[in-house]
Amino acid sequence: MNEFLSRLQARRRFVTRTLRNASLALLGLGGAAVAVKRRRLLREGKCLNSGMCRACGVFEDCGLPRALSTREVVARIRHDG
Amino acid sequence: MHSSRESLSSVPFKNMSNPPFCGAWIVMFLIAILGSCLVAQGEIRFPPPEFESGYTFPQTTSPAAQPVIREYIDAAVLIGGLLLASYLILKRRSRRAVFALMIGSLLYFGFLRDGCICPIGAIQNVTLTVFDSSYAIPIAAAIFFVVPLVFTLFHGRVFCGAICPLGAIQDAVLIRPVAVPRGLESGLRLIAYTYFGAAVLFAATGSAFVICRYDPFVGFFRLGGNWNILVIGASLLLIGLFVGRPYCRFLCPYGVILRQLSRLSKRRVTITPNECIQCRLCENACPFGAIREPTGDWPEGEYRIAKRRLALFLVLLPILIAGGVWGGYTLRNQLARVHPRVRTAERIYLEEAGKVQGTTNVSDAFRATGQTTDLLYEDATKIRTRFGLGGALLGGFVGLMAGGKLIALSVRRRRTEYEADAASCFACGRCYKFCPKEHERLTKSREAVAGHA
Repeated sequence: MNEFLSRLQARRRFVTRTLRNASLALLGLGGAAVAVKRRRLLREGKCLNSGMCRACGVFEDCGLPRALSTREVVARIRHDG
Repeated sequence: MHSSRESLSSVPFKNMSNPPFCGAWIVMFLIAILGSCLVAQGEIRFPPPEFESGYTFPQTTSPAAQPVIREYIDAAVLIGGLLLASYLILKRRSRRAVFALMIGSLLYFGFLRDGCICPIGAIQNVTLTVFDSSYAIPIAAAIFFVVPLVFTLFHGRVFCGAICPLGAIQDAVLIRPVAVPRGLESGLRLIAYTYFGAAVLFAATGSAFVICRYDPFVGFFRLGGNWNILVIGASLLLIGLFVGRPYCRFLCPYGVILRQLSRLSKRRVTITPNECIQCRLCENACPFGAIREPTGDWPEGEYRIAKRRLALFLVLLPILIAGGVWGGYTLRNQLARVHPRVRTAERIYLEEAGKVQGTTNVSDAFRATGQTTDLLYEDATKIRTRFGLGGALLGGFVGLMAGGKLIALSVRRRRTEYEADAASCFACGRCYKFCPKEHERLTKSREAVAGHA
């Protein structure tokens, strides 16, 4: 009986460890996929801020007021040195 | 029983492996966080944008967009907090220190950062980034989603115990906990699974971020907000005076994931630092009903009844899943109404058919875009079709969970000592001070410290 129980526990530990490592791998792969997707969207010139303007001024054709203002300020700083 | 004044332990635990952290590690981390704060000061030197066109920002109910660096600081604070929480819960085993960290986290992530960004809401960002090819989750939101999960895989639910501001606000008001019967608790937890499934469905279809919209405590963190939500939040806090962490136990969608991952955790809370002496002092220590008593063999006669019950529930499982699929599919039109495009289409249809008088802001705005109603109806039909599949999956998921819970209640797991349930334990550390072996450890530790001095 004890041998049966210890075999059962060993099997449970093995399954738990396997599932834990699989979960970690899944989280890692998910994180990598997110990073790749962000790079791809940035290369395509898409705003990643979902409409919440952070005044980044990165995209030349972005017409949001804060982005326009940021570009203007940056240009002024560059011009004035 | 003498009072428990926790101190740094030098006594090794019999049942625990080597401590996962050391002080130097945490100090290094704090230096890194402080370094980030110094870098953040550089942000202020940049001249903020000024509007010369007379443009004024509209009043919004959500917090304004923050500089990206602040989100990274939040992420650093989260990681630092989780490291500290793991140390305090698993190594130092101090409820007092965990409580102090919990209050600090409530002040920072709750009141200072307005309860945003949080891993609970990040579920929706993750879902949307999977289902919408043009959406990318902000890096900080991804970190907030993933990091507590990784910590849970290694140290159990340390995020719930010491970092989550929603858990902290409920934990802080708990004064006279009452026990919830296990069957009732299990049944109420189905609400969390349904809420999780619905939140994923609405985020996947781009309809709404319901977790953020119905966050019950965000109104308190922002010191104002929608009255209905404030009333819900206040009700949960009132219930929380007697029922420990009602939101975390019966509603939290992130808790649904954490529960499952916590079962796989490498280390987790152990009530006793070494061998359990079966004194039963800890039996009622947990206000969240997470302590499981030892189980022996089945009593005579009960085994056969339990076996029959289990067989019945196993047969019932596919029926529950099928019922859920049917129910979810039937509700597709009601569910689809959450999507703004479908609501607009319905409104326009009613106006065009002359079934309602006048127009609304939404219908006026739609007409101002110059889009055709045919295109709108086509979009709405597509969305409803998606909700047909999504609703069926949601219903099936809820049916599966309901069946799984019935089966779990009928299965007896062998335990030789009192132990914290891996899934339900919030790692709050309340149970430590009830264990006489823990007092013994603390006494030895104090003596060792005094001996060195």
